[in-house]
Amino acid sequence: MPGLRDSQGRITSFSRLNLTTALQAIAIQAIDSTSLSHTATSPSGRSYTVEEILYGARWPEMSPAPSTEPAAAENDEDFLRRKKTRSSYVCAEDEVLQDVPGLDALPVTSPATPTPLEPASDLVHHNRVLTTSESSFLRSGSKFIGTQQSGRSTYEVHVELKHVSMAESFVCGHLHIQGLTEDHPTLTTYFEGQMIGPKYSFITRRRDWGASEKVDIAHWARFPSWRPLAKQAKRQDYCHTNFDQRDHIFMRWKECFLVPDHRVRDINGASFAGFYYICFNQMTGSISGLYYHESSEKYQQLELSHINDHGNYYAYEFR
Amino acid sequence: MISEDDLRPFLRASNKGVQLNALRRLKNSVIGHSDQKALYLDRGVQEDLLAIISGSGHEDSSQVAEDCRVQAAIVLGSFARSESEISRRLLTDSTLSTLVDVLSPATNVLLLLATLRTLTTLLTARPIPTLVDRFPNLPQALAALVIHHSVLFFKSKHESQRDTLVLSQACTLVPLVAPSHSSTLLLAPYLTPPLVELVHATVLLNNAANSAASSKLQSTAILALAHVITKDAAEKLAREAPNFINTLIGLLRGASKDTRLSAASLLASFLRNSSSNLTNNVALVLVPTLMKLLDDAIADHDGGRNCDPRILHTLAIVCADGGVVSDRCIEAGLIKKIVSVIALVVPNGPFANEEADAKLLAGGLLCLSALGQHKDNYRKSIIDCGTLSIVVAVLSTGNKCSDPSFREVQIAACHVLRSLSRSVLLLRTSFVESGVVDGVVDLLSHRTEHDDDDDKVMLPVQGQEQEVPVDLAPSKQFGGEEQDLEVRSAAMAAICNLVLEFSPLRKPILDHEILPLIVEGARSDYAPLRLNSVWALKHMVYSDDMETRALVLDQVGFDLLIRLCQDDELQVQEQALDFIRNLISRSERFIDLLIANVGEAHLFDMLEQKLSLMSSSESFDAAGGVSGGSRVTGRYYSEIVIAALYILVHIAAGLDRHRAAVAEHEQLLRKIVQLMRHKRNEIRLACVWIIINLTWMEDRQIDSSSSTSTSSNVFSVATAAAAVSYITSSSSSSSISGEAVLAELYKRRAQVLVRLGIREQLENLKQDSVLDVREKTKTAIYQVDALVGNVLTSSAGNNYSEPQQQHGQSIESAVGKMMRLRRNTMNQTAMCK
Repeated sequence: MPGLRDSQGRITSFSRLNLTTALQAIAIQAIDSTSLSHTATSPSGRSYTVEEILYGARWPEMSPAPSTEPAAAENDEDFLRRKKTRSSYVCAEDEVLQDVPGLDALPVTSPATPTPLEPASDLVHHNRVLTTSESSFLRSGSKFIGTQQSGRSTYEVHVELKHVSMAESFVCGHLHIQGLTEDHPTLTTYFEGQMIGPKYSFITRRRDWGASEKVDIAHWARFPSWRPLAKQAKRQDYCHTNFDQRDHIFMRWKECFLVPDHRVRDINGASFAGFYYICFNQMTGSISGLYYHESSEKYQQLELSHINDHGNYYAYEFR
Repeated sequence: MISEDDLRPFLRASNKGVQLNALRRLKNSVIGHSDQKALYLDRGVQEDLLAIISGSGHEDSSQVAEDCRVQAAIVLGSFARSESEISRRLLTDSTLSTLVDVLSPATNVLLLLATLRTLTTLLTARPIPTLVDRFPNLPQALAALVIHHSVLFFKSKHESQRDTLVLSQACTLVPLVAPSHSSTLLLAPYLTPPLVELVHATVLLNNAANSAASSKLQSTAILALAHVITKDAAEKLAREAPNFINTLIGLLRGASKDTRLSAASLLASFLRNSSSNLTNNVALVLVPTLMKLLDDAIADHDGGRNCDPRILHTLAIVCADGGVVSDRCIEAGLIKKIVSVIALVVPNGPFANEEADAKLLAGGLLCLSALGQHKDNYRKSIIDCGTLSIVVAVLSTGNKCSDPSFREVQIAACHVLRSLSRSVLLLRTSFVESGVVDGVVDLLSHRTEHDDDDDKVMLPVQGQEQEVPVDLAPSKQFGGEEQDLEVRSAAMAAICNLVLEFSPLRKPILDHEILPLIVEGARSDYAPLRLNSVWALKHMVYSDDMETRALVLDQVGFDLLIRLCQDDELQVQEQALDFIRNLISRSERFIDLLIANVGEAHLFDMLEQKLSLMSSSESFDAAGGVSGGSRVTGRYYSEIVIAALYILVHIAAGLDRHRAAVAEHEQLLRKIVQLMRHKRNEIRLACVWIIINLTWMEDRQIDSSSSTSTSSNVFSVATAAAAVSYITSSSSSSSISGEAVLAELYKRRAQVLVRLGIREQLENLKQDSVLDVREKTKTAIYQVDALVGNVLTSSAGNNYSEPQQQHGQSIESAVGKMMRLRRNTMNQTAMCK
């Protein structure tokens, strides 16, 4: 290969034009030798391994993989870990991570980053369901205790939140009510809640729930904290933004089925066909609710207060 | 005419003409005759063929000798193309090494082609994940082949048919030699650049003249590149050669189905590997192409049974992140379409066409699991289509099927369970029959069953003529262990959600006594399995059910727990810390057990170390938000910090002596003061909770410790009082009550906190951007000020004199120690729940 190698037989040409010839030279080298691990020297005197040539020949102007962080920010442990996991796992930008303020300006994730730990062959399941911005009262595992007033009767009610996702404006949990029927000293239902915000409007718009716009307004209006909003909230195009940072979060809770056996449809003397309008006080953790069903007594009141847990928050995350 | 029975001596003939004749006869007699093949293998014809192929013993380079080698390779290929029993017998180390040695640009093209085909046949029938490890020169050899023939291919004005064929075969072989991810990484550096060049060249060529052969070469080259491309290379390409992506997008409208699919597959690899912002747009472009390919396959007379599994596999990757892309696919009816296809191949017996059916089923399930990851209503649709019965059918087939491709099906089925169980509602309604978990539990509890006789493969032992049978049962064979671990890891991931407190299957799973298996998984060297196992354990102690907590703790043990807290993998650390956090939540008893078993000093040292994970510069929003490593690493560091902080919150929510233990570690408190300025509100909130708990005095607490007073309690409070009086030299202290001692203690503690700067930090947090942090801060300020007065407005300020500081500390430490003395004499079970 005259012109491609210098007097010592080292490869000297890396230009794009000579690419095919250069590759051929490498191919020949590969045939000549059992190993490709030896180096070649460029005209500028820099040594290249064959691996680099293979890359460099394609992108001669490329610098090596960009350094992702200032060296100072990296401690030894970190570095060792990076070395260990280098290229071991496919990496993907994780959307759920974008809510970290101040992190957007960071350089592109380096290949050395420890990534969500899935078997390396798994290209699909790399997203974690990291939940953020739960509050002290509105979080999975939070418990509330209080009463429901139906006519002259008062029933003791316990609520336990099972899952809260502020991103999805979603909450669900179990509602226990005591003494509602003679046959069942305690009845437990699974309920799901919609938080009023950009995703769900004050107007229910669910024909199957049976509430008209008028019914909606009449119920919301019973919450003192709704009154300042009343004028705007009645507008069709109103969007209740920044809902999670307001003093009160409005919700609708709909009981879905009985617990433990979801297949039991009818309980003599009890019904969960309706739903609750909820006003949740973010400062005290207290909950006010109004039950609605077209054939039930109007404005049955639910009053709950948060059971102090001293910051005892369990950690769980769907895998 | 010679008798076929007597062919062997002629195969060994030194006369090449005779040998060639014998080879041709052999070929004619075995093609299509499995019994003949078996007979010849019994007689050891394999060695003869390999000897001829390698040309060993004869330095004969005559044409006829070359013809012999070609014929021998073709005959071997014919043996390989037979029922699995025979091809399995062929698959020995000497076969592989002989064939791999042939792969060189210097080899006669016909021999090369025959060898490449034989390797393809063998490896299709039985993938060998560790092939590249065993033949480390293989990547270079393949790369050299591709480069050599690419050059000839580029140079030729007309298509060179032979080079096209060699390149096609070599590209087909690329995914087959590296079926495991780790082997792909070994291949990537050698093969990525020549494959990129080759794809480029085929695109240029196909624009000019389109032939079937070059179109096939193009799609195989693209698929090969899709297989080997790494994140590095993908990013480099996306950045440096954006036209390459555009070219691929152009190919999505190509005439050939294979081209469209391969282009989509390579683009999907880019999606997975590249973090550039084009990803979402590209994903959207891929959807119509892939959906059309799927629709065409379903419209076929067989209803999609012959659908290329890569269509579903690529769709799974495209839908992995949810969002608009998944929405589009779901609108196009993807869920129903997948279920209609995979219902054709559900195992209600052996697969009709094992390999292809299994791949199709795996692809379909993988895609369903991808679609079910993000939205509850998609999960419901997937379940409504009857997916669970398919999953149960797959999992109940269990280990009867040890075929490697069936393991992919099992893994995908576990992924479906995992995705669908990310919902309280579905756990309560669809995951109620224990049949759902039986299969998963089986995967965890039984190692691969294997029939020893079937899986012996002959491997040569160095220095020995004889081949020694080596146990190559799937669990050990050629990297089968890695796959076995992947299956267990996927099964463990599915278990994680099913053992949650609100899952009706929690009890059946616990009744299966799989706890020891989960603990064993937590000890695994394989990080994904270790992670999922610790995750499952964490979910088991996420409950007020103290009995289960005790049971789990008994099996896990503190040694393992602490080791996991210091794991090499950040996420494992996080899960292990969360386990402790859940374990000690709302239970003084478990706090006591933790401190007693780990040792107070060790425990708090470890927690302090976790809180120090992020260097101070990263902790502050003011510093510009550079965090160590990357967003992902930064995120895991902060998850670890949160877990460690909540362990402290929970300890401080315990009894007075627990609070005292936390308060005694001033270094720890300093870290907490720093972290109160962290950019993540969860971290700030946890810090405030620690302050609240440390300064929270409840009447009941003092009452309970003195009203239930055993003599030791009285003794200890009295001793504490004595200690206070000794240290403060207060004249009236000899008569103060236990309550007064505690009040004094809390006051001193608050003073220490104030001295460390907590009051200023709290003042800052009054203006926090997050309502919850502001609210809890008010509580904390109220409590601190109630104990020491508002130091920020009082003239004394925070300039405490040196002696006072020392007093504050030594009282804390003296009382803390005495309270711990008391602990030793206490009945630890008294405070359960």
